[in-house]
Amino acid sequence: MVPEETVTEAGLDSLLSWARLLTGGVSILWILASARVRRAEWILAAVVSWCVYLWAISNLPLGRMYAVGVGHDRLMNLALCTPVAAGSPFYETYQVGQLNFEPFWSLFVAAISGWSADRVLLLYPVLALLVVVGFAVSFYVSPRALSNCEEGHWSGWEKVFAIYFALMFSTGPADHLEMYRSVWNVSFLLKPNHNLGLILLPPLLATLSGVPSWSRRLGAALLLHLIGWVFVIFWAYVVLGLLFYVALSRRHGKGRTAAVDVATVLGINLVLLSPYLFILLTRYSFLLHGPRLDLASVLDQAMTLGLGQGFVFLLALLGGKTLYSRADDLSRLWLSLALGAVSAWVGYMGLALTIGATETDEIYYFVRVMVGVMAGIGAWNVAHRTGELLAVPKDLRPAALLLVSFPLALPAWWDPVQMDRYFAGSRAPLPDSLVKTMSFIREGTEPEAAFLAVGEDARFVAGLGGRRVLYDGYLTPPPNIAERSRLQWAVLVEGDRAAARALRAQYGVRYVLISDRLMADYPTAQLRPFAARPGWRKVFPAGSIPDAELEVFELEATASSESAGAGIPAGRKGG
Amino acid sequence: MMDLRLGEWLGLPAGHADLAAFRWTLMLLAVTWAALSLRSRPPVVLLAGMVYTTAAVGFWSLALARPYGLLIDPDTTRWAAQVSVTAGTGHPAEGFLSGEPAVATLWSHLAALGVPAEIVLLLPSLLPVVILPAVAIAIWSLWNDRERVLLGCCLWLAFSTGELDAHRGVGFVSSAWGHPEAVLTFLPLVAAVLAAGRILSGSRLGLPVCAALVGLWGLHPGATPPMPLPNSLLLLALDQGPWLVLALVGARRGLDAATAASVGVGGLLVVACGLPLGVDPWRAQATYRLGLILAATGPLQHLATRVGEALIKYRPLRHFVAERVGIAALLLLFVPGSFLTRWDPARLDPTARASLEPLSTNLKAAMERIREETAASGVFLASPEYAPHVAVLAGRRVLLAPTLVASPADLERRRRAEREALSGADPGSLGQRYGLRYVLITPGDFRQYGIEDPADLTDRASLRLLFTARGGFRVYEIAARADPPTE
Repeated sequence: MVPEETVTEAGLDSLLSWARLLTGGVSILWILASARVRRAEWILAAVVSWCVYLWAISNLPLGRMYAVGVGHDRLMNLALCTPVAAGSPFYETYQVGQLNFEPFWSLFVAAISGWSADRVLLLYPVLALLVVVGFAVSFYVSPRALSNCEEGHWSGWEKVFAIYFALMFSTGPADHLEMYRSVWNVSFLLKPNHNLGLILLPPLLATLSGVPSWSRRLGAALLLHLIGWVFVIFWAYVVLGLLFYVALSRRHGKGRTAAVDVATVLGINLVLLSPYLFILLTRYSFLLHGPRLDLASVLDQAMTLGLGQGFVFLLALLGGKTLYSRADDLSRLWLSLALGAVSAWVGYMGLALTIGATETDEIYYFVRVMVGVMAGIGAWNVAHRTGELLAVPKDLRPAALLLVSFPLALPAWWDPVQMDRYFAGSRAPLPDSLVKTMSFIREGTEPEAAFLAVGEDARFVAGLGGRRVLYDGYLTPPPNIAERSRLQWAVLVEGDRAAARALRAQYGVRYVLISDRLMADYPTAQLRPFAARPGWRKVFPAGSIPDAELEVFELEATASSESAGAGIPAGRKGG
Repeated sequence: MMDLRLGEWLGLPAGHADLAAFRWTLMLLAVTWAALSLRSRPPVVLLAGMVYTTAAVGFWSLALARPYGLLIDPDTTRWAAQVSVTAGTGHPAEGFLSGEPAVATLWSHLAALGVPAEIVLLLPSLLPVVILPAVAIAIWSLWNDRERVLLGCCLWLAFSTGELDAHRGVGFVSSAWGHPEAVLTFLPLVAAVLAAGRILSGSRLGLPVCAALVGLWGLHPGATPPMPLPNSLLLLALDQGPWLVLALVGARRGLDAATAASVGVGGLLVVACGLPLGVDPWRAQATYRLGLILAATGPLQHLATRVGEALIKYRPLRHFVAERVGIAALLLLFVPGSFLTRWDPARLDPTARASLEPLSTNLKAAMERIREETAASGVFLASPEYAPHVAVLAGRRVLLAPTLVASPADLERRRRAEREALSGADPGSLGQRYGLRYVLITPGDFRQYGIEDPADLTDRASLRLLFTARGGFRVYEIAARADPPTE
C-alpha cells in the first residue's frame, strides 16, 4: 500500500493514465501475438493478466485496505473472518452467540491465513483477485477443454470468450452512475465472499452434465450444498436454474433423466441444508422488509439489464439461442442457469415493488455475470460466422474478435478515480489512533474476550482487532438483543458492576472500547468518569493521554485474567 | 419576470420528468429508427435519427431550470452578465463591472443588436439540440463519399459522443453547453471542410485546404485548462472505443480529403491538448471524432452489407436490401445501449446538476423589481453573493463582483467607495466615478461593516429605502444622487 502523501491526486491520475496506456499497448501486442500462438490458454492468460492489472490499480495506490471504513460491506465481511482466524467459532458472527449465515467464507479465510488475524489483514485484499482468477480458471477447466478446435461445443476458445465477456463486459462505462453501480468493483472487488460461489458453479454444472450415475449426482449435490454454505442466495439462483434445466431437457427427450438428477441433487440438499435454510428464512429472510423500490427504478433497471447493455445484451441473446439449439447437457445447464437468474430477478422486482425485498443488488450482479457468459458464447458464434462472411482465416478469428472488442473491454477504460467511490474513500490511511488501538486489541487481549463497542467501532474491533462484540446495531440483531442492550446501558451509563459481571459471564464481554461515537450514543455515560469507576481498568493507551480518541478499558478484572494477560505488551500492564 | 427555463417558453411544466419513461421512449425511438432503416427512403432514415437525437438532447435542454452554468460557473456567468447589462443599459461598450470596458462576445453582440437578453441567454442551451442534427444534414448534403453518406449520418447522430470522452469532459453533446461558441462555429467548419473536400476532390489542394480549415478552427484557444499528456494520449486512442480501430481499417482503403484532415489534424489537436498550447479539448475531440466516424464508414458499410446478405436469407428479411438490413442491425445492436440513450447529465456533471435547480422565486421577483424600478444607468453595490444576480437577472452594472472579477485594477478604490456608501457618508466623487447609485442588501450581507440587519441602513443619512421585497431583499438609493426611480 502506498501512503497517501507519497502520491498526490494529480500524480495518481497521471500514473493511472500511463498505466492504462501501457496496458492498452501491451494488450494489443498480446492480442496480435495470439494470432501466432493460437492457443486458448494464451487468451485466458490475457484475461487473467487484465484481472491482475485491474485489481492492482484499484488496490496498490490505497492508504488502507480497499473499502475498509467506506460503506459497510468490506468491514463487515472482514469482521466476520478476523475473529475466526483469532480463534472464535466459525459458525458465529462477530456478535457473540449469533449464528453465522455465511460460515464457509469465515472458515475459508481463517484456514488460508493459518488461523492468524494478522495474516488475514495481509491476505484479505488479495482474495478478491484470487476469487476472480479462480472463477476464470474454474470455468476453463470444468470440464477440461474439449479441444482447441473452434467448431467444438465448449471448446477452449468458446469457454475463454465466455470468461472474457463475463469478467470484462459485465461492467459498462456508465454503470457507476446507476443505482447498483459497477459489477467490477461493487461485486468482484468488494465481495469475494459472495463470488467464491461463482468458482463452484462451473464444476457443479460440469458434474451434472456427465453420464448419469449416482456418484455423479451425489458429487453435484455436495457441490451445490457447498454453494449454499458459501452464499445461500447463489444457491437459490442455481436451484431455480435447475428447474429450468428439467423443463428444457424435455425438448431433447431427456426430461426424465434430468428430473431424476435434479430431484436427487435437491433432495440431498434439502436434507443437508434444511436446518440452515430454516434459520435463514426465519432470521435473515430476504422477505424481511426493506425500502420498497418504485416502478420507475424497476423499469430503469430492466433497461440497464436489457437493451441498455447494448451489443452485450444482443450477443447474450444470440449466445442463449446458440445454447438452446445444442443437444448437450452442459449447454442446457448454462442456459438454464441464465434463465433462472432472469426469473429470480423478475421475482425479486415483484417483491421489491410490493414488500420491499432486500438483497436486490445481488441478483442484479448475478444476472450481469450470466449475461456476460451468454454474450461470450454469442460473440464467439458471431466471430465464427462473420469470419466466414469476411473470409477471415479460422486461426485468426479469436485474435480478430479480441482486437475488435478490447477497446470496449474493462481494462481499456476502467478508471477507479472517477468510477469507484470505494477507491476514492480508501485513499487516506486509517487514523493512526485506530490502527494502534486495533493492533493492541489483537496482541494484548485474549482471543475469546468480547468487547462493548458501538456502530462502526464495533466492526473495527472485529475486523481489525479480531475480537467479537456484544452487538453493533448494524448486523441483524443477535439473540437476546433486548437483554444485551439493557446490560450495555447499565454498564456504560450506570456503571452497574453486577451487569458487567453478567456480561462477562454470559457473553464473555471483558473490554469496553470508549470512542467519540460511544459518547455520542450514550451522552450521559461521561457523567461518571470511566477511569474512576470501580471495576474499570484502563489498559490502552498506556499512561494519561488527554483527549485520547480511543481507549480500552477492562471490565471487572479478576486475578485469573490478570495472570492470563501476563504476556501482553507493557501498554496493557501499565494501564 | 425574466424566464430562463427553456421549457417555460414551450409551456412545459417545471420539475424533473420521469427518467425511466424517458429512457424507454428513447429506446423505442432507437428501435423505430432501426426498423425504418430497413426499407424507408434515406431522408426518412435520417429524419428518424434526428428525431431520436433531438429527443435525447432536447429532453435535457428542456429540463435545465436555468441556462447551463448560469450563476454557478464563473465563465458562463461573466458572459451572461455582459449580455444582460448590454441589453439592460443599451451601452454595449460598458462592462458589467462599472468603469470597466465590456468584454465583447458573440452573445453580447447579439444583445447589442436588440435581441432580448432572455433569448440570448437561452440560445446556448438549445445549440446542441440543433447542431447535432445540423451536422448530420451537412454530412448528408456535402460529404464527397455519396455511397456511404447515409451510414455516416446515422453513425454521427448516434455516436458523436461516447461514455469515455463524456467522462473526460470533452463529449460532443455532454460538454456542448459549456462551449457555446465552439458549438456554434462547428457547423460552419464542418460545412466548409466537407464542401472543400468535395469541390477539391481529386486535386492536390484538397487535403491541405481541409487540414488548414480544421487546424485554424481547432487552434482557437478555449477556456478549458490543458489536460495531462497521458490523458490526451488516452483520448487519442483507448477513449475512442472501436472508432480508432475501425478508422484505421478504413484508412487502409484510402480516405477522402475532409475525412483524412479531420482524423489527422483532429488527432494532432487531441495530442496538443496535453501540451501547454491552449488547445480546447472539446474542439479537438469534436473534429477527431467526426473524422473517425466518417473513416469508419468504409469497413462498417462492408460489414453491414455482408451481415445483411447473411440475414436476408431469413424469410422475414427476404424482401429487403442487404446493405439496409446490415445498417438496421448495426443500429439495433448499438444505439439502444449508446451514450445518448443512457445520458444523465445530472449524474455525470455537477454543473449540469446544479443547473437543474431553479432560481428562487423571491430572488427573481426582487431582480425584476430592480429592473423595473431603478435607473438603467445606476450602478449597484451588492454583496459578493448577489452581485452576479444583479448583473445577470436585473441587467444592472455593479461596483464589485469578486466571484466574477476577483481583483480589478482599482480594487482598493472600489472598496473605499463601498465602505463610504455603507457607512452613510456621501461617497462623493468616488460615487460619481463609478455611477454608484443603489445598494442591494439581504440579511447577513456586509457584516464586516458592522451591519447586523438590512434595516440598519435606514438610519444612514445618505441612504433612502427604495423598496423591500420578499426574501429580505432591500434596495436603497444613495440619496446624494437621488433621482426619480425610473428614467
